[in-house]
Amino acid sequence: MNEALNKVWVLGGAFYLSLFVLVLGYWVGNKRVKNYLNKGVVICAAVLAIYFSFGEETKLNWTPGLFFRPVVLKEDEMTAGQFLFSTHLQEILPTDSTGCVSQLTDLPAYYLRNQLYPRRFVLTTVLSKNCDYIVSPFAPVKIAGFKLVDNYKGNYLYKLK
Amino acid sequence: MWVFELLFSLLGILSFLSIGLVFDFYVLTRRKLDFNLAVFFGLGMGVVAVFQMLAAVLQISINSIFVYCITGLSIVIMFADPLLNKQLKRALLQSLGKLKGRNILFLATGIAALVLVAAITFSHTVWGFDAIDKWLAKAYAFWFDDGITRNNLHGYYLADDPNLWPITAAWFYHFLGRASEFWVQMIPFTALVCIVGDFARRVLKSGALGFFWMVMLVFSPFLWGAVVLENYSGNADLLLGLYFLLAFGAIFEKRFLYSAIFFGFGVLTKNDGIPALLGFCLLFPVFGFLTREKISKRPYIVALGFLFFNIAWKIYFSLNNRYLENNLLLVLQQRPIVEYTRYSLNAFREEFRFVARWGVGFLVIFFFLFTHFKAVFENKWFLFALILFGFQFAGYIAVFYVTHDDQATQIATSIFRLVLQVYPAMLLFAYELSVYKSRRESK
Repeated sequence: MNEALNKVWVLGGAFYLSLFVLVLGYWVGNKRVKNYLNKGVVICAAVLAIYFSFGEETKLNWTPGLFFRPVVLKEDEMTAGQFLFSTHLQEILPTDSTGCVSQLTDLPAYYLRNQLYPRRFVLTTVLSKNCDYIVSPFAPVKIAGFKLVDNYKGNYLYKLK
Repeated sequence: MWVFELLFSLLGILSFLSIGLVFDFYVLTRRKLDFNLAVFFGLGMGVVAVFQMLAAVLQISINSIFVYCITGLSIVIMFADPLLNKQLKRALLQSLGKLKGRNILFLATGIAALVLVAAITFSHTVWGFDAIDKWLAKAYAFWFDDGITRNNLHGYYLADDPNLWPITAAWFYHFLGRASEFWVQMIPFTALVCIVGDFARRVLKSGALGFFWMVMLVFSPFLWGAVVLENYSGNADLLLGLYFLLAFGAIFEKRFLYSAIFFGFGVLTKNDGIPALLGFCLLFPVFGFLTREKISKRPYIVALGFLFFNIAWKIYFSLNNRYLENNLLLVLQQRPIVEYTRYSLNAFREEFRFVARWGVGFLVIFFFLFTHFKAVFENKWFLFALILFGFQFAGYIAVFYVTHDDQATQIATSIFRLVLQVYPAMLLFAYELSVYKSRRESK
């Protein structure tokens, strides 16, 4: 019996048990009860939605000051500096160039690779002379046969010698 | 600088609205304006997407000048056509006329919530894996190449995802003059505004209680979270949610042509929308027969058209499908279907009670479904809608079964985004059930 009750509690919890009680109350209640339930469920749900929303909003660590920052700063900060770096690379790299992006981190590397389109750059942790250019966000790389072409705010571009 | 970018972004949004309005007026309503911004926005995105997909087949490039010309033309038509102009003015005056009494409170609450959402959304850019790796990567390529080509469909990303969202973003980028993960958030934000606006339009007929329905939707944490959270704001799930809301809303209003169109656009947004469109194609004639109502064949033809267009376009560009590439026989042999289905059902059971994402929205949905079930059989179109929801969930469970990934991982990373797709439509369904009896008695 205890096991069955435990299972019902684990599977159902307060949510489904409340639903069960409300539905049962509706079916056994008279017209007045039905009316109250029809309205009460919606009103309580709306109040709870506001409560849960504010709970989730406070977890965001958002302050109004974040909204009033310049757009370029927001874009560059969110992309870990890759927004301005990719804009810079678009100015200096020919559109038909190919190369490798040293994949030290995931999302900034994917972002950088996409921003360099139509230049074909692949993400790789194995850098070799198959790459005409090597782009290394955040950290320099030491690889024979390549010369450092550009250092933009701690992001590096190498070219095959 | 940001002022100009804001103005161009707003022009981008206006382009979808004006294209949608013009399409609706001349093609769908035959010159009788039915003013609904959410419908216009949905239609605008969809028409632009279909147009660009056809242009890709014909190898016509879509550059900024073209985009501006089409937008300019659609705006000029609104003023140049005296009938449209007159009806538009009347519709706007009627809308303004409704701003009185408690409607102002309703509007103020909605606006206040959306202003907060906007402030948080535009404090950052899109920064989620799916968005950066595929959706916006494609959008960048489509924008840069002035359209869709065989090359840019098969980029670094998986090719089998539908393209309405990247096409919409690329069209938007033409107004900005650059690809921006910051300003592109205007599109999902506008989709949220349309979801809230369309839902509010329907529920506020119920007066004060309608206000609480609207609050329940607006304050559903993951609904606004899908726009506000940088990991999710660049995904296509909210757009599909908008299309489902418009499609199911049209079923309840018996505007089946619109349902067919919006289910069709849903399929062009995400493959997740296929079950509903399939269900529509299979069951619409059946329910038309069961209800004995005089129903045009056009919705059925349009729905089938979208299905075949979607398949034909994918075959033409060799896009394949990562799930159909599975050896399904092997999957059936290796994965016990009953256990996998039970796991998926339990996962949905847990997701529905995840109050930090949905509040008690699903409690409300199930309450009205179980207490007003009689309405589902009295109104066959409610039954039709319910079965379509069933098709959707069956589709989700099927995907969880055949996925390449481990089922638990797939569910953990995607179930809430799938539920987001159907949540606004299910809440609307619950509302329609709740008012069905009183509406019928008042007729």
